Formats: sequence, C-alpha cells, structure tokens
Amino acid sequence: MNEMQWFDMEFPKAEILILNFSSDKYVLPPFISKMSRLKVLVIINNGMSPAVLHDFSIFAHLSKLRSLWLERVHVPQLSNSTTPLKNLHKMSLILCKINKSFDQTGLDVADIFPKLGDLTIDHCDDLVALPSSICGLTSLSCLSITNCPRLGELPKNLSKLQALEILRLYACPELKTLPGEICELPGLKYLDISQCVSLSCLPEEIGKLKKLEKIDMRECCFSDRPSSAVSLKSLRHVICDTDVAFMWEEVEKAVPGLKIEAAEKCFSLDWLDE
Amino acid sequence: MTVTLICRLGSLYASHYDIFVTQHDVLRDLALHLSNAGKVNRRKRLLMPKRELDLPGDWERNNDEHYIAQIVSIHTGKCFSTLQIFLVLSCNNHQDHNVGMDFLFCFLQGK
Repeated sequence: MNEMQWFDMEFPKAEILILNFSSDKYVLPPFISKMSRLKVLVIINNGMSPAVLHDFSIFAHLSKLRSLWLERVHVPQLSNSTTPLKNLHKMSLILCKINKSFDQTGLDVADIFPKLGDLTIDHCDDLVALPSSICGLTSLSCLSITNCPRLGELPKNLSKLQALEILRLYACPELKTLPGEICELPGLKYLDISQCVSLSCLPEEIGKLKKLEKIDMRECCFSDRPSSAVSLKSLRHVICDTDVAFMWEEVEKAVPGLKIEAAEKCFSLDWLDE
Repeated sequence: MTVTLICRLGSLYASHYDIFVTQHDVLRDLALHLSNAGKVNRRKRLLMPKRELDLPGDWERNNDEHYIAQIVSIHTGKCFSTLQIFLVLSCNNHQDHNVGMDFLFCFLQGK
C-alpha cells in the first residue's frame, strides 16, 4: 500500500490491528495515529523479501501499545530520539532483518521500552551477535533468541538482565559458548539451549543458579558437565539426549526431585507432507 | 481445523509462540460469515475476507461514520489463490487484557 491508497477512517475502539500484506515496501496506514486504544499491533509481510516500513513515526501516538509483532520486515532504526513505547510489554521480531537497529552508540533501549518483559527474536538470519544494548532492558523476564542461523555470540553484560526468568536460545547452530555471566542471573528458572549444536559445555559456575528449575539441552554435543551442577537445588527437570544422560546421574543423586528425561532422537520428514 | 503442536508444548515453560491453530475451509468460511454480518461500522471484528489491492469499497463508502471494531484486519498486496485464517491462541496473562478470553487475534493470511 502507498499513501494514496489509504483513506481516512476512525477506529476509536480498536484494540488490535493486523496488517497483512505482500510487498517489499509498505506505508503504514495514517489512521493508526488515531487508534488511541491500540494494544496489539501485528505487521506481517508475506512477500518473498523483507519489507521496508514507512512512516514509523506513527508509533509516537501509540502510548497504550502492549504487544508488537513484526514479521518479515526491516526493523526500523532506533535512536535516543525514538518516542518511547511506555507500555510495550512484548515484542516479537520474526523473520526480520535486524540490521543495526539496536547498535547505535549510546542508545538506551530501556528508555524506549521501559516495561518490555518479553522479547522474541526468531528466524532472523542477519543476527550475528546479540547487541549488548539489549542487556539494558532490565525489565525483561523472558528472552527468546531462536532459530537464528548466524548467531555466534551473546553479550558479556547479559548479567544486567536481573529480572530474567526464561532464556530460550534453541536452534542457534553457530552459538559456540554461553557466557559465564548467565550464572549471575538470580531469577533464571528455565534455560533452553536445545539444538545449539556448536555448544560444547555449560558455563562452569552454573551451580550458582539457585532458582533454575529446568534445562532443555537436546541435540547439544556436550561431553562433560560442570561439577558445580550438583548445587542446582531447584533443578527438577533436565531434557537431554540418551547418550549424555549418564552425566547427570551424580546430580540426580544430589538434588532430590530431579527428573532426567532422555529424549529419543527423532529425525523425520513427516513435516514435509503438511 | 489443524492444530500444530511442537514437541516443546505441554511443559510449564512452553512458549505460546510455538502454538498456532489454522482454520480453513468450512470453518474459515463460518468464522468469516459470523464476523462479517451487519453494517461494517457496527462490526466488532472488521476483517477483509480476501486479499485485495485496496481496502474494500464498502469501508470507504461508510467512512463518514466511525467504526466500532475492536479487531481490525487489513489484508493487501498481491492476490493469492487460496486463503487461510490464522487464529493465534493467547496465553497472555496480563490482567488488563480484556479483548477476547480464548484467543487474542484472528487474522487472514494468504499462503
């Protein structure tokens, strides 16, 4: 859609807007700026390549927006002059080009998203290193960076995410190490590193995660586990491949109530039929 | 209706990102039919039943009056031969979320 194709409409009660299109350029409808009650905005491009969105300044009017879903678009550049989305709790960036959106020097992402609790970045193939500015989002309780084929590095200051409870990093085949700073997340309950085939070990001090309840590490090629794992007092569930389950036997004895689930490797092409 | 389940489901920490429901054929038509009854300005859900190049003519003809819709779905771009409705289940527990108890948004998607 270009500017000329939109006509003015009034939606004083609209709370959810879904924009579904197929194009590599898209002008956001000007009437969004009058949707003062908008809580959920979903923007999905079904085209072959990521779309450039125009007139993102419209977001300045969306003070009540709680959830934003962007699919197959270029994530707009953020800067310190970006109008804050004060009530945004949840942001999902799917199949997007992240570009350098979070990388501007001195960018304070927490000023723009002061209440963001849940960030999902999925299938974003240009993400090579998670920008360290994301660690400024101190309100985050759930961070999912999944299916990102080129992600090789996590920022060292990850421990700034003190409210983090859920960390999903599954299916990032290039991710080689988990920074030790992960062990400084006092509230972490769930760690999913399944299908991170290049990871070779858990951080040495993993035992410091006193609230960790569950680890999913299917299809990780681990040959050893840190000895500190016996101190994971809250750990109740580990999912791993059958051939590495023996590593957890000692922890199972030390931590009452812990269940080790050895997942069968399941390679199937059934999904092709769907 | 097709419900796609991924093996991470069923656990306490499953993400609702991994859950989606596809509604197609007769159920899709029924959902559209139920949503699209009555005058466009008075509909609670304002959905474009198929992908078009522009907004529907009857939306434009009635735009002198405001629309009361809580859910608006706009579907534009290239034309596709078949269409599906996606219903995305909401497991959103935010207290003040008062739009729909069972599912959060219902949108049309060309595949």
